[in-house]
Amino acid sequence: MSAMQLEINGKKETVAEGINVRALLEAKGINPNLVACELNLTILKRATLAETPLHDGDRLEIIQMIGGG
Amino acid sequence: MTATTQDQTFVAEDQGLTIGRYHLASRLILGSGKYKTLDLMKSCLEASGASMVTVAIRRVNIQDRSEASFWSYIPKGMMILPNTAGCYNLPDTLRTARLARELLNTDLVKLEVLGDPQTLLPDTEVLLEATRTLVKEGFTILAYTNDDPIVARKLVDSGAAAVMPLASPIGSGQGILNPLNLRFIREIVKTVPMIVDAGVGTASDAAEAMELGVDGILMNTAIAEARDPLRMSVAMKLATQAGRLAYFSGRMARRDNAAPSSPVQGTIGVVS
Repeated sequence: MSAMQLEINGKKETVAEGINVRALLEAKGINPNLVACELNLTILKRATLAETPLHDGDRLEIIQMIGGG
Repeated sequence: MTATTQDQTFVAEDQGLTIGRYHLASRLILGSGKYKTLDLMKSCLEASGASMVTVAIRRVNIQDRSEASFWSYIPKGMMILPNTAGCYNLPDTLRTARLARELLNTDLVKLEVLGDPQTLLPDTEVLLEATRTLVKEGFTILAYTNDDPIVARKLVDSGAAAVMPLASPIGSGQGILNPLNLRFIREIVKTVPMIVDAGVGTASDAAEAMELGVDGILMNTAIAEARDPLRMSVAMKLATQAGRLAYFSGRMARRDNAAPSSPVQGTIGVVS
């Protein structure tokens, strides 16, 4: 299987070609219900993560809530 | 026992705070930053009686997932208010607010647009622009702003659901530096809640803010950086209630001169 390069949270990363956003999160041990994702500056609805394939050069942001005032 | 009943009665008379379509039983809103442990944060949030807690929106750390459990330390039933802290321009502010909505399934957002990293004072020009844009998108905006009455009025006109002037700079603990401006803002902001956000250092600051007639207080560092945060969270709860009661009680008039509290007649005279 060939690979593709993404930029995830600002860092270049090589992942398997054809992977979708939900599968990528799960492979990284990230609970999709506890994060929000933005792909190439478009916010993804949580329900659509499994139907959103990733492509070479995509920029993915994965965000969560943390402590703050 | 009578005194206890009376204080419970008076405190219970307070109907709490309504922001947009949200109702908060407590007038105290807490931040969730800077606590030494998440267990301590949770205890403070519970002890304070606060109905709402602010959180920040940040990138997931892919390598270190230790922050992933943060959500489980937010007491059940507490409303979560995401903030845009750390944003210095309009695109970042809008992006963070929209991501927060998708993340937390909420239309609530505390708009915090900073003007510079030294003072952390708000960029009110961008704040107003962000407010106008996000109100159109259906957000319930709590706008963190300067103690500037004119900006406060513009925020109300722009559709902000709450106006949140600072007491003093974020994390400074300097208390209310310009009570006169807060009074002016109180006179202008009548249709939505006015909440003092940032700068409270100790319980007397919270009471002072409530005595000025504000609807609520948002604080973080005053509790998180107290030597005993849990006790301070209780102090803040009581101070907020005390200040509110004092506001409704109507303070006595200030006099230039002393006025004796005991009768001046009938004193027993000088021993001779």
